[in-house]
Parts: sequence; C-alpha cells; structure tokens
Amino acid sequence: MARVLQPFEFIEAAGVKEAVAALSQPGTRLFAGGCDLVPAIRRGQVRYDTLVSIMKIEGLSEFSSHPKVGVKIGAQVLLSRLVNDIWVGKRWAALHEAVEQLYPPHIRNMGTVVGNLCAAVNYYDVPVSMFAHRAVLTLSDGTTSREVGIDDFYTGGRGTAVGAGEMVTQIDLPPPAADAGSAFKKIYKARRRADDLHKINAAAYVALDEAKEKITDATLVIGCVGDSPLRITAAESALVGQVAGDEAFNSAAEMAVAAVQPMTDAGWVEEIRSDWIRILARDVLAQAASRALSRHDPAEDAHLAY
Amino acid sequence: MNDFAYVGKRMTKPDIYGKVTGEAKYTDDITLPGMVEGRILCAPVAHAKIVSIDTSEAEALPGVLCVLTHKDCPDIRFSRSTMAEALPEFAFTGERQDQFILTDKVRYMGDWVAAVAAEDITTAERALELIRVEYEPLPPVLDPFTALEQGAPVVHEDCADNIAFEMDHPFNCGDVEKAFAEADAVAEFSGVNSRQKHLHMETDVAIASFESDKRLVIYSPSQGPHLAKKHLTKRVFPDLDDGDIRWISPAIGGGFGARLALGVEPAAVLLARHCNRPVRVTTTREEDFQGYSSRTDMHQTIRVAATKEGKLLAIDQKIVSDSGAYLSHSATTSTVNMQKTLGVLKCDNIKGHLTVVYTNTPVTSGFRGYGNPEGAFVLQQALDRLAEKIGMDPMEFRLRNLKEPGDPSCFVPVTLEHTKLKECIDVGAEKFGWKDKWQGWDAAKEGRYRRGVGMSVLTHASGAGGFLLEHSSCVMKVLTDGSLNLIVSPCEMGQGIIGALTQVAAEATGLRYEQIRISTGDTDVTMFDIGSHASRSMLVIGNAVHAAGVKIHDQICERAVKYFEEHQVKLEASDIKVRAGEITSDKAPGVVIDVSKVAYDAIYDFGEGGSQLNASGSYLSTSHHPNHQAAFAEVEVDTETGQVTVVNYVSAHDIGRAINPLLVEAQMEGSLVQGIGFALTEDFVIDPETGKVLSDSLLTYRLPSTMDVPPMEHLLIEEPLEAGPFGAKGCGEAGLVNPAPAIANAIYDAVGIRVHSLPMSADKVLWALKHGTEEAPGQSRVSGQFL
Amino acid sequence: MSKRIGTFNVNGKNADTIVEPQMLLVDVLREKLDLTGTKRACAAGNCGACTVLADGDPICSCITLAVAAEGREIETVEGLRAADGTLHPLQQAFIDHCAAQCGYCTAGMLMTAKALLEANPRPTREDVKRALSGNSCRCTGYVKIIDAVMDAAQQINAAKEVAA
Repeated sequence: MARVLQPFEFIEAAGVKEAVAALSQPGTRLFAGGCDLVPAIRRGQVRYDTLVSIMKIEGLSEFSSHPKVGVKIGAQVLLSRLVNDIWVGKRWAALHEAVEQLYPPHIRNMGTVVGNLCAAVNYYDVPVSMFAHRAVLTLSDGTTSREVGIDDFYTGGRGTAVGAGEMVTQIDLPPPAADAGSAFKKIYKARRRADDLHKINAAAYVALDEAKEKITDATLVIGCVGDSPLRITAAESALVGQVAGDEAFNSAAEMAVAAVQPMTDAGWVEEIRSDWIRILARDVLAQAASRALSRHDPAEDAHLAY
Repeated sequence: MNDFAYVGKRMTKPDIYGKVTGEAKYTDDITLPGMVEGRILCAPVAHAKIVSIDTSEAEALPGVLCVLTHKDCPDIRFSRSTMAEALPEFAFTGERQDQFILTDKVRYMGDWVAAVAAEDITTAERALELIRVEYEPLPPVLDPFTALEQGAPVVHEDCADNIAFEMDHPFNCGDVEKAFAEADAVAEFSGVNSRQKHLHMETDVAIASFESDKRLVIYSPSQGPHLAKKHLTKRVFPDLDDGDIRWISPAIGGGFGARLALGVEPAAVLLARHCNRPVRVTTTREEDFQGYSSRTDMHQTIRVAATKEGKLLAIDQKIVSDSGAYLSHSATTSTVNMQKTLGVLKCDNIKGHLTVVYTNTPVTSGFRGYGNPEGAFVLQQALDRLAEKIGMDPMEFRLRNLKEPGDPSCFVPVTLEHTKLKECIDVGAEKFGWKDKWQGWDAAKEGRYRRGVGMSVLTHASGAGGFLLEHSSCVMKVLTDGSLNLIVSPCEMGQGIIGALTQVAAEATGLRYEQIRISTGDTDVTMFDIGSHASRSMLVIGNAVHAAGVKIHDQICERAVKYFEEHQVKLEASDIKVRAGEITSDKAPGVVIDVSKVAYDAIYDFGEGGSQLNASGSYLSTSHHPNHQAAFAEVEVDTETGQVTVVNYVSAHDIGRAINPLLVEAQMEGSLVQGIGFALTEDFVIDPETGKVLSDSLLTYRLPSTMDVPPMEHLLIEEPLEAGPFGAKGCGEAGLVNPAPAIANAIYDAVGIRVHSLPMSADKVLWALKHGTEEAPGQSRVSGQFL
Repeated sequence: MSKRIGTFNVNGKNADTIVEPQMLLVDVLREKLDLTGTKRACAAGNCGACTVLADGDPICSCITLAVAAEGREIETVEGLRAADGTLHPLQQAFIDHCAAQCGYCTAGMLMTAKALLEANPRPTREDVKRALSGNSCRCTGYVKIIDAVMDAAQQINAAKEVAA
C-alpha cells in the first residue's frame, strides 16, 4: 500500500511490432490509459520493470459506427468516445449504458475501451456489455492478425487469449438485427467475505421477428459472478422462438440463477445474490425487448449516419 | 426585533477564498527546508507476536535516514484519544492508555510495526519493503461477544477478560423492573451500527520539526491542538513539557471527530528525533481504511415501557461496544451514547449498562455525534415499537414525553433551562405534512415501490460544561485602520466557525466584519482551549469572543466621548454605540465618527492616553446547553431489490439563534447526507475470518454521491438561549443523529420490516422482506433478538 | 525513457521539470510545479479530489502517469482565475453559496464543473448531479455545490448575452 510508484521504464512504441517485441522482456507490460494498472502498481498488487505505451502507435485510433456495418474501436479509443455517439446510443444501448454509468465519470476520459477489456477485472461493466453485443477482438503481432470472439477472450483468472508477442488492436461489434435491442444494469452490494464481490451487473441483447413478437436471437450475460462475464447459454437458446414477454424472461432469469455458482459459504449472501441476478436478468431482457419493439426503422435515421 | 449589523445574516465565510483558489495551505502542502519523508509499516496480520525485525537491509538503502521499531519508542503507553487531558481525574480513570507508537505485538491488521524516514518518498517506501518481520500468528478474536467468552484470545495481556471499560449509567434512577412489571406496554429493539468511516478527504499527515533551539514544531490538522499537545507531552513523550511544543494546525481537510485523536504525529516526532531532520509522515487512503479511526460499533438492546395513555415509564439500555484493538474514544463515546439516549425524553426509571470490549480489529474512535447517532438508531425504533403497541401516532407519543425547562438535563447533573423540541416537532411536522402522510400503524401499502414516513427526535450538547474542561479565551487588538485581529482557538475544519466568530466579533465590538482577521491554529499564539468538537465552539468560544468584543466596544465608546465634544455634544460613554465601524449616539443625531479615527489616535498618542485598543475575553461553560432537533423522513422502498431511496427529509433544529443561517444550513445539509450514508450505504466490512478490512476503497465503501441527495428542508427554531453568544446554541453534530432512525422508522412504515444493523443496505432489506425479521441471518448477542 | 526533462503545458504556460516515468501527474503538479491546489485524497481514481482538465476533459491526476500527460493542455484550479485576478464565475458562486467547507474536494469540484459548463452551458440540476457524481465531498452534502454550479451557469450565460 504505497503512496507512490516504485521506478520503472516507460517506452512509447511507434508501431505494433515494436510494442509486442518489447513485451518479450520479462517484467514488461503494455500501457494504454493506465486506470487499472497505475493503482494496482501503487497498491503493490503488480510490479513491472517496463511499461510500453501503445498510445503513440499510428493507426490505432480509429472509431466508426453504423447500424448496418457495426462499430469499430481502435486500441487507443477512449471510453468517452462512445458516450456521445448517436449510433452506439441507439443500437448498442447496453454498451452505451455501461459506459454512461462508469464511476467516476472521469475514467471515461482516461481509459481506453480495449484497455477496459484487457484489464480482465471481473467486476468491470464494459466487458459485460461487450458479451451482449458479441464483440470480436483483433489480436495482432504487427504482421498478421487473428480474430477472437469475446466468448473466447477470457481464459480464467485474469488471463486472456492474448498470446506472447500479440496485442489487441481493435474491437468490432457486429451490427444488430433489424429489430433488436439491448440493455445493461447493475446493482451494488456490500462485500461480506474475502471471496465475495461488491456488485452484480448484467446485459442482454434481444432480436425479434418481423412481427416483433417472437424472439429470434438473444444474449444474456451476468457479470461479477466469476473470473469473467458469464453467458447464460441455456437461457439464450430457450428464449429463441418464444414470445417476448414476462413468462419467457422470468424463466430465462431462473436459468441465470441456476447457472451461477455460489461464491461464499454464507447462505443468506448467496440467496440475495441469486435474487438480484434474477431481477437483473429479467429486467435487462425486458428492457432490451422493449427497445427492440420501439426501435425506429434505421432508414428514418439515415440522415444522422456519417 | 434585534437590529443586528451582522448576527443572523446569511454571509459567506472569510476562509473560503483560499479554498476556491487553491491557495489554502493544508499540511501536505507545506514543505520545510531539509524536510524528509516518513512512512509507517503496517502489520499484515490481525494478531501476532513479533518474533524478530531485521531492519539492516532497509537501513543500508541509500537515502534512508533511520528505521525505527518498538525498541526505539518511549516505554510508555498512551491512548490516541486526547480527551484524557480534558476530563477530570475521576472520569479519566476509565481512559486506558494502551498503546505504543510502534507496537510490541500486532493487535490488528494495520497495527504499526516500524517507521522509516528517508530523503524521498520513493526511498522511504522501498525501505518499508526491505524490513523483514517475522510474525508468529496468534488466533485473532474479531467479534466482541467471542472476546467476552472464557478462553478467548487475549488482545492485551494486562486485560485478560478483554473488557476495556465497563460502567453503569451514572444517572440510573427509579425502579426499572417494577416499572416494566406495571406497564401497559413494553417494547424492545436491538441493533448495531456499522463502523462508519470519517473519510476526511485529507488523509492523515503530520510534520514534526525540531528547531535549532530544540523546540518541537508540529504541523498537523488537529481539532484540538492544545489538547493534543498536552497529551503528547504528558502521555507520549514525557521528557517534553507543555512549553516545548508549538503545534500549528494548518487548513484541515475534514475532521468529523477523527482529528480529536492523535494520528501520525507521535511517529513523526519519533522519526524527527532520530534523524535530526524535519519529517513529514503521510498515509494512504487504504491505510486510513485499515487504520485507527471509525465510529465505534455499539451492539445495543433497549427496552422501553409505557402506560396506555402514552406516558414513558422506563428505559433500559445495554451496550456492548467493540473498541477494536485499542480503546481510543470508544469508552467515552459509549458513555455519551447512554447519556443522550437515556436523557432525550422525560422518564423516571432509567437503567443503563455499558461494556467496551477489545478485539483484533482496527481501532474505533469518536465521530460526529459522538455516541448519539449510535443510540438514536436503536432507541427511536424502540419508541416506535412502543407507540405501535399502544396504537399511538409516534409523533404524538414523543410529544407526550418531552422534557420541559426545570427537568433534569441528560448529560451532566444540571437542570434543563431551555428546550424548543416541541416547537421543532410542530413546525417540522407541519412543513413535512406528517398529518397527511402518516396513515396509521396498519396502513396497507401495495406495489413494487412503497413509500413510508418516519420521524425521530434528539437532544445534543453545545459543549460539555461541568464535565469537560469547558473554558476558552481569546485576545483582540484593534489596528489603526479600525480593523481587528482576533486571536482565538477554534479549529476551522470547514464547519464555518471562523465566519460565525467573525460575525460575533463584529457585532460585539461594533467594528466592520470585512476588517476582522482571525488568527488561529497555532498554540504559540492562541490561548488554551480544548478544540472544536461536541458542537461547543460557538457556545464556549463564541462567548469568549463576545466577552472580549464587548470590552473593545466599551473602550471605543470611552475614547469616543472627546470626539463628540468636538461636535459640541457632551456625552457619557454609555450614550455611545458602535456598529459596523461607525460610532454614533442617539443623543447626537447626524454625528458619525469612524472607528478608525479612534483606533488610530489610540495608538498614535504620544501622551498619556497612548495604548492600542486591546482586550481579552474568557468564558467558562457550566452546562451542556442542549440543542434539539426533530426530523421527518419519507422513503421509497423497492420491494424487488430492497433498495431504499430517501425522497424527502425535513428537520427542525432548536438553535437558540443562528449567528449565520447559511452556515447552519450548510452544517445540517452536510450532516444529513453523512447520516444518509450511515443509514443506507456506508458499510465497513471486516472479513470474519482474517480481520482484513474488505471495504478499503471508495469503490467498495459507498460514500453518498451527488446522486444520493434527496430534496430536503432545514428549519431553524430560533429563541435565544440566555447563556449563548447572542443566544446561539450548537448545531454541527446534531444533524447526523436523526437520519438513520427516521429512515428506519419510515422503512417500517413502508414495508413493515426493521433492519437491526446499519447500514440498512439493499441486501439486508431484501432479506428481511422475504423472511421477516424473526429469521434474519444474525442474532443479537446482547439480548438474543434476531438482527 | 528514465529521468529526463519533461515539458508540461499547465494553465496555458509551458513548464520544464525533471520527470521520471513512475511519477504521477498529481505529484508533478504539486511537488515539482508547486501547484498544491490539486489534492491527493484517494490516489485510486475514486474520489475526484485530484481532478484536473486534460484538453478540457476532467481526469484523475492521481492515477495519470505524468509522462502520459506531456503534450496535453492541463488546467488546474490555479488557472481558473482571469489574468487580472478576477475569480471565475464558478469560484465566485462557490463563495456566494458557501459551497466549500473543508475545501479538500473543492478544486476537483470546480474543475469538473468547469468541464460540464463548457460542454453544456445550460445544465439542469440533474445534469449537474450526474457530472459531479464522481467527485466525493464529505462535508457539504452537495446541496450548496449543486446550487453554486447552477448559479454560475446562469452568471456565465448572462455575461455572454450582455457581451453579445
């Protein structure tokens, strides 16, 4: 628990290749906004000899959004870039809500979207919303790149799929279906045990058929219940084909509760956690569906695009 | 109608300019020539023997000046609480002096094991990492009731039963058991408050510097530097005497009671002594969370009895307080809890008992309200239960049991001379709309979101005259421009006392408010005073300022006689008045003499009359002059998540007279929001297995934010208190007392459940909604009731 | 890069100082540039007391590496006053409403509020609450701070109208 950081080296890489090459030295780590890393170093949780900043690399600052094309987020894009983006607000509402509610709001002006995902902190909000939107991450070694779906990105603990000599250069969010909506919500709670967490968050994506009655596709994600966000796949497949309504959402919420493993041995803590998971799951699904129902035809908003 | 120039006016305060420009100097902003950085090594386990400490590697690090451990400390135990120096000897015996600067044995996770001074902070912290400590872990005791059991781990070797302090309420009276047996209705409530953190934004910091004349200068934010200095010399460094130390308290980044205890000052002094350099010791927010300052958690059961007509017959309070690893303020706050709780209403049969227990948890301390909020949370719910049993409106029940002037007061054996609690209730209820909103004990509420209302009343002190060393003195001098230097010793920690005292001084002297400058915070300059706490500053220090001010006023009048003669008016000094810098007399219409003329001539008089206008004033308070407050809360409970939102809050405060209503309002708003945090979100959680503080950041310990601020109204009931300066009573602490019980009673009204432990967080509310309160996960170890 | 001379653009002026990679912006501001108005309170990016503006946006200087702030326009509370010493309308409003108590959060509040009013000159009370939701204050209960920001917005707008 230090007040200042012990000395380290700081390199501003000019290219992806240089950045990942520097990583081959032990005790080296990539640096973007530093919102997670700097306090962790100060608290003595991690220590590095060298931080390699990616913020001066050319070509990593791209951001674009279009309802028919999707969202592209380069590795240098700050969270604040998402807040006032009209299409993110309209069509990737879960992401918008997650970023909008970040505490404190300052973090949006400091942290990158990619960094928020790569930090692999299990109570963060943005990753949960990214699961709902089925984000795809581009991992590059400076020469070749590969794509990893967010479902495969987290590998347990605070590990990620980013291999040696690689970094995440971009996130892509596929365009949502024509009649789809999404939502994100969270509840804070107290930590009662060392192995307990202080909040629960959830996000959902719901797509409806042309009649806007039946669910054609769904994602349901619960966060803060393990190392990384948990997709409730049983609920997702059960929802498809059902009428978007309380009955479907309630039973999906029960599946979410069933899918989550207890974190403590305190029965009452677990019971309340289950209740809140149930409520959050139901509410994000209901809200996502309601957004799917009320959505304008994107053509009406065409004048807003680009 | 009084025609005051300044008193009663809404004015901003003089010290705010430096705060909005960034110029105000706090301790951490001060750099002394040659100053080095000190840091403290905190223990990573809750309870352990220290087998060995190897400092050689740390000492060898270039830039390290000294590494100190227990063996380098004076062999004398002290308490962090400085209150011992303000208590009479008979009361002081309970204040166990129980810790060393650097500990001999680890008694909580965060206990101080070693201290380092180095040329820079980075080196100091690197040195901490190089200190090798071998601990022999001991089983920790983390719960006060376990600590009371036979065979429990012993926290202090000289205290085998872990009972740090135990007493009966000094004002026990009547026959409580008989009253309970004869009562028409009896009710009981058990509850415990959480260890609310002060969370002063400025983390603990101190600079110690031995000057070339061997005198020690300490820069540290203290709420009572004279007391702290006395304590430091008497209990920590007995080789130093009162005059050997100059304590300067710069701008204070929040106090709330925390700065009434010694912080890092002893460590800073120890380091400065060993390395012969000025040393600044700083701490981090995490260390603050794991450290030595929070509200004391008091496990309480209160039984109350009444007749069916609503006469309160008896109160019986049992308290088991968890002091943590060292006593600090927890015995005194627990005692004050009994006094305030058992003394708020009229009752002839009273019984209170208190046990303070050591555990291997962080040290608890005094916090704004000093026992009163802890007690009110339990008492005001017991009273509501009693009112429910006799089917009476809870407000009506309280109204029927109010104390009146002439009744014994609660705090010290004095007579209550002034109370406007009835008016507070009446005016507050009217504004809140209690009559419409309170729909009876069986009002049915439906739907996911349910609203309810609740109320609470309190009595609080304006100082503790008759018990604490309640006197204060000040000095005034008038400069040639008619401006005034006021040397006085309140601690301005944001509460606005500098502004309010300026108004008192301006009013009493007749000088201009804008021309009054206050010097404070330096023990070489100011007169002895026990500091700013217990809502005492305005009453005690304000009276001292008033006393000096009147003298200045009279001196001006006497010297002004000859100036009226120049206008061919022959006057007595008593015919003359001074107001806002102008000297006038009803007997000399149209003549206005500026005070600067008198003040200038007084100094630049080469004849017999030459003397600067000056005065000192002292005041000794012999009563605690209670202030009172009634509060009304309306809440909305989300029955699905358990989340509680305060939707409206009205309080009415018996202030005597508001010297500055804007500042009083600011105090009430701030204390209410602290109270809402205390009631709903601020949860200090200690891991029940390891004793580690789990809520060790502002991410996990939820301080109220702008989003938690409800619509609120604060009403001032002004009827001057004869003993107060211009009639004023205290107000700083009271606002934190009512929110938790008023909100708790409102939750009960909304959804019919009571949560027995603070905070009433969403998880506990939801649990109680699902399972009722008879099956809650905890059980009161004081009474056996479910929590 | 290890120890070297860094150039910081603070309050419209360039300042050179020795900087090391591990130094935090708050420490460089306070200890190297003597701008002690910016406070260190949680050192974890949770409380907003250390807020400064970087290119107009509020950031937590306590978790920002100083080297990462080079080349950005930094504004601190010391830069709020006009060149002739006139207080910024926000500072004046904080004085008029008595919106600072202990004052430790005040610099951060002012800077966050400044960014808000530049982005949203006519905020609602709710907008102000949201913008300041990451700035903790233990003393005031926020009421007078919110009042002051609303008032300052009006003053600024009124002055603009007069100027127009």
